[in-house]
This record gives sequence, structure tokens and C-alpha cells, in this order.
Amino acid sequence: MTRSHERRFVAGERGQVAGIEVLPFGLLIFIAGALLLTNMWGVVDAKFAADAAAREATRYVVEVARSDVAPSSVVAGATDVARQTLDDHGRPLPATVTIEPDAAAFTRCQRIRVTVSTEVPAIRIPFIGGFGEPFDIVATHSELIDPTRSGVAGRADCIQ
Amino acid sequence: MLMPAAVLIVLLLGAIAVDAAIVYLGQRQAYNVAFDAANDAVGAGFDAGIARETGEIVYSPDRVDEIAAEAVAASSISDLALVSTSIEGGVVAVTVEIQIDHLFIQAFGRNADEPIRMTARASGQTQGP
Repeated sequence: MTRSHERRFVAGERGQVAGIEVLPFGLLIFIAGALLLTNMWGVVDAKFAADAAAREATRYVVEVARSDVAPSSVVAGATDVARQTLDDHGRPLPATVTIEPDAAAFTRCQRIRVTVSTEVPAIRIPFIGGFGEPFDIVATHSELIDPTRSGVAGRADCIQ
Repeated sequence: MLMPAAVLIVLLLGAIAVDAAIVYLGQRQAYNVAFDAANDAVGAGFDAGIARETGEIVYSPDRVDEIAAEAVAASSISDLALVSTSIEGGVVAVTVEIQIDHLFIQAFGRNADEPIRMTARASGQTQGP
């Protein structure tokens, strides 16, 4: 009596839900979707960080460039500011900072253009890190050196 | 029946989130460029002769247009165009338009060849000495 009851308990399939074996696949799709959404936000966040870095670096050049300051130090300072901004946004990734035109042209009315490029891994898993083909994140910001400010060489030709 | 429906809902929400992110990024980029253009136009788009003679800041519409167009071109964002500039007293407003292509919305019945257009505005102001 007891043995027969145990056999029925082990071998019986009553209570099983048809299609239960599909649940793991659904779970996998859910996890993949969650990873995709999380990584998408990472790309958006990196774009914001790169935008902010390009803006801050441009502001630095426009404000700091003067006749009595070495242009190379302005470029170095702007690059540091861009990297520090990325770091402050929690993105201490290697970044490329390009400043146009070259340092010799920091004059009144000159348009300063800073481009910050960084990369975001395709898939990033918490505590493990990122892997996969990275996305390139590029942000550009431009601004005129104020034509009416003092301490800068050149003529204010952009004012008529 | 519930599991496929749940998976479908997750996929739909993911697609909506991706499209919303694309639109949001485009909107922010357009606003940033409009703001930069207005800032540049405010700084260099005024009439220097009047400013020297009277100390009053009077903007030149043509010059404001030129400077804003330069700023928009320097942004290197494709499908972004300057729509208009306007001068309201000491305030310069710049309107730009960006064309954004959705990634997934055509799956929900929207025409893939009909990108959404958005307009961003920014203004700047200067004060005389």
C-alpha cells in the first residue's frame, strides 16, 4: 500500500503544466531583453557624458586662451577637463579629445571645435565587465572666442 | 498562452524604449546646438558701430543668421538644419530642426519613410556696459 502510493507519487504527471519546458526560453529572452535595455541606457548615458565633456573643454579653451598663456598648455588643460568630466560622469573610459583649429589660432572670433570620442562595450554585465564589439560615442561642441574680450590676439572681424 | 504574450510585451517595450532613446538623444542634440548658436549670435551678432557710439546693443538680423548657420554647420550633425532666427529686444532665439529616423516604429504600422521632425529653441541675452 505504502510502496504503491510512493510509486504513484514519483511517476505521476498530474499537476504538470503543458509547455512548462518553454519557460526557460522565455526567461532567457527576458534576460537578454533586460541586458539590451540596460546597455541602451549605457549608450545614452555615455553620449550625455561625451556631450558634457566636449562642452566643458570648449568653454575652457574659450575662457582660458590668452596671449600670455602658452597655447600648448591651453590644449593640455582642455584635454584634462574633458577627461575629468567623463570621469565625473562615472565613465573613466579611454577617450580621444580633438581640438580644432590648432593652438596657434586661438584668436578673437575664432570658432573652437572640440570633439570627444569614447567607446561603450556592446554588452556590460555588472561585476564582470563589458565585452563585445564596442559602440563608438562621439560628441562635438563648438563656440566662438568672444570678440570683445580682452587678452586675446587678433581683430574682432566677426562683429560688423 | 500567457508566456508568449509576456515575451511579446517585453519585446514591444524594448522596441519602444530604443525608439524613445533615439528621439530623446536627437532632441537633446538639437537643443544643445540651438543654444550654442544663440550664444554665439548674442556674442558677435550685434552692430559694433551703434554699440561704440551709444552703448546700446542692437543686433543685426543678417549677422545673427550667418553666425547661427555657422554654429549649426560646425555641429556636424546630419539632418540638422537651421530654420530661423529671431531678435526680440536683447534676446536672440534660434530654431533648428532635426530629422530623426526611428528604428522599430515601422513594425507598429508607421511609415518607415516618414521621419519625425522636431524643433528646438534657445535664446541668449547680453547686457551693455
